[in-house]
Amino acid sequence: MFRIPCPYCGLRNVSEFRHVGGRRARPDVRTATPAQWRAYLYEQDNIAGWSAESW
Amino acid sequence: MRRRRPATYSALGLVGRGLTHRDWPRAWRSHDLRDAYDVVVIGAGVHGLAAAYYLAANHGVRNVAVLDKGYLGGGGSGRNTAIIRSNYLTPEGVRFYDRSVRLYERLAAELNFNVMFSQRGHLTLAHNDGSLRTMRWRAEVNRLEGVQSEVIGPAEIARLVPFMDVSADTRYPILGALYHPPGGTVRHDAVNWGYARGADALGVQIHQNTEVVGIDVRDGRVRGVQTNRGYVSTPTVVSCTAGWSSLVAALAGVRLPVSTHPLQAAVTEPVKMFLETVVVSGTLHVYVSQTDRGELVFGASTDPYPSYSTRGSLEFTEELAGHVLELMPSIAKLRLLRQWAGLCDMTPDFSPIMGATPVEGFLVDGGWGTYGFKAGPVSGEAMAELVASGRTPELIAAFGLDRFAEGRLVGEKGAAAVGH
Repeated sequence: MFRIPCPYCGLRNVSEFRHVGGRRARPDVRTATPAQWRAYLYEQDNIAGWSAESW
Repeated sequence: MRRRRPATYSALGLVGRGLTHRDWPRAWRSHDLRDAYDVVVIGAGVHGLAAAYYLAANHGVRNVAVLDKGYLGGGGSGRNTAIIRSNYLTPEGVRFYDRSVRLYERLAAELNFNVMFSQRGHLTLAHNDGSLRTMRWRAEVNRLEGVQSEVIGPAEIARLVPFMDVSADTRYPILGALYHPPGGTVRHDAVNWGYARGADALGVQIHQNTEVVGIDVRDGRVRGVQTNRGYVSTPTVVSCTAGWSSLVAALAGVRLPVSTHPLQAAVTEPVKMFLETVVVSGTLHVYVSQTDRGELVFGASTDPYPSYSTRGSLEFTEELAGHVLELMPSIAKLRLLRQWAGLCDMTPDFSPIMGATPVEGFLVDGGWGTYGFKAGPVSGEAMAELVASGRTPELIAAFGLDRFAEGRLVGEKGAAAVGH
C-alpha cells in the first residue's frame, strides 16, 4: 500500500483517499460551450508516468 | 499474395504425428516489414488478430499487417479471466455481446483450433435489493433480445453451486442471482493463437516486437506509421490496443475519454473439479471460475486509481481471500499460485469506443474497460466490415467516439461484473 502526504494530517494510507482524476482547469460555467464542458467532463490525459492528480 | 494451407489439426493427424515424430509446422510465421500495407492493425491481441482475420476471410483484404510492441496476446488478451457472457443491461450491449457468444460457439470449428469454449453457466449474485432489482431489469432486457437469463433464488443457487454459503447469517446474505446459462469460459491463449494461425494462413503478416512510435497524419488523414523497424505507408490504421489506446490515439492527435486502471486476478493450485458455473459477486468484488486444469481463477474490481502497472499487490490478495471465503468457506486451505494485473481502459459510460475518429483513416477499437476479451470476435468482425466497406455496421453504431460530444452515452455500468 502506498502512502500519500496529506497537507493536513501527514502521511496516510492510500485507502483513506479517493482518486478524483488528473488536474484540469474547470471552464467557466457561464461561458463554456457544450464541447468545452464535455471535454472537461470526459477527457483525461491518462499519462503513463508521473502526473499531477487530485485525490 | 503468398498463401499456404496450414496442416489441419485432427485426431488422425495427432496419431500420425505421434507415430512418426514429425514436427508440427509453425502456426504463424515471421516476416520482414514491407514498405506499404493496405491496412495496419496496432495490437496483436484478440481484437487486432480477429479484425485482421475477418478482413482476410470475409472481405478478401489480405495485405494487412498486425503490429505489436510485445508478443502476441501478451496484453489484455492474455491477462483476462476468460469469462464469456452476454447478460448486459442495455439493448445495444446485449445484441452486441450475444453476437460475440455466437461467434465463440463456432470459433473452434471455423479456426480448426480448439478454443475450449465451455458454456457452463454464469451466476451473478445479488446481496441486496438494489442489485436484485438490476438483475430483474437485466433478465427482462436479455429475454426481449432473445438471450437466456433468469433470476433464481438461494435454493437453486445452492443446487448449482453446492459449496456456496447461501445461509442467511453471513455478512452479505445471498438473496438471489441472475442465471445466464449460455455464459462460460474459454481458453484465452487458444483464441489468440487460433486467430493468429487463421490470419497468417490467409496472408496477413503478424509482426511481434514492432512498436508503433508515430502515426503520420497529413491534411487530416493517415499516410503511414513510424515503427521501431522503419516506416510503413498505409491509408488505414486500426488501433486495437488495451491499456495503451489513449496513448496510441494521441500519436494521431486524437483524444480519447479513457482512463487506464489495472485489474488484478489470481489463480489457486489445481484441485479436483467441484465448481461448474462461473460465480460473480458485485458486492464482494470478486468472480471465480474453475479451469479445466482445476485451478480456481479469481478476478476483482479495477484498482481505484489509474496506473499502467501490471504487478499484483498484497492488499488485493488479502481482500480477495476474505471475500472469496465469505462465499465459499470450505476452500480456506487452498493456496494461491500466482497473481497478475491487466490494463483496463475505462470510459465514462463503461461502453467501448469503436469506429471512425476525426482523423480520416484512423479507426479505434478500444476503451473496453473490463469487457474486452468477451467481445473479441464480434469487434473483429465489425471493425473488418467497417474497414472494408467504409460504413459503420449497425451493431456498433452506438459506440462511436462522437457520442461523448453529442451526449449519447450508452450506460453499461449496471452490467459490470463487480462494482468498479
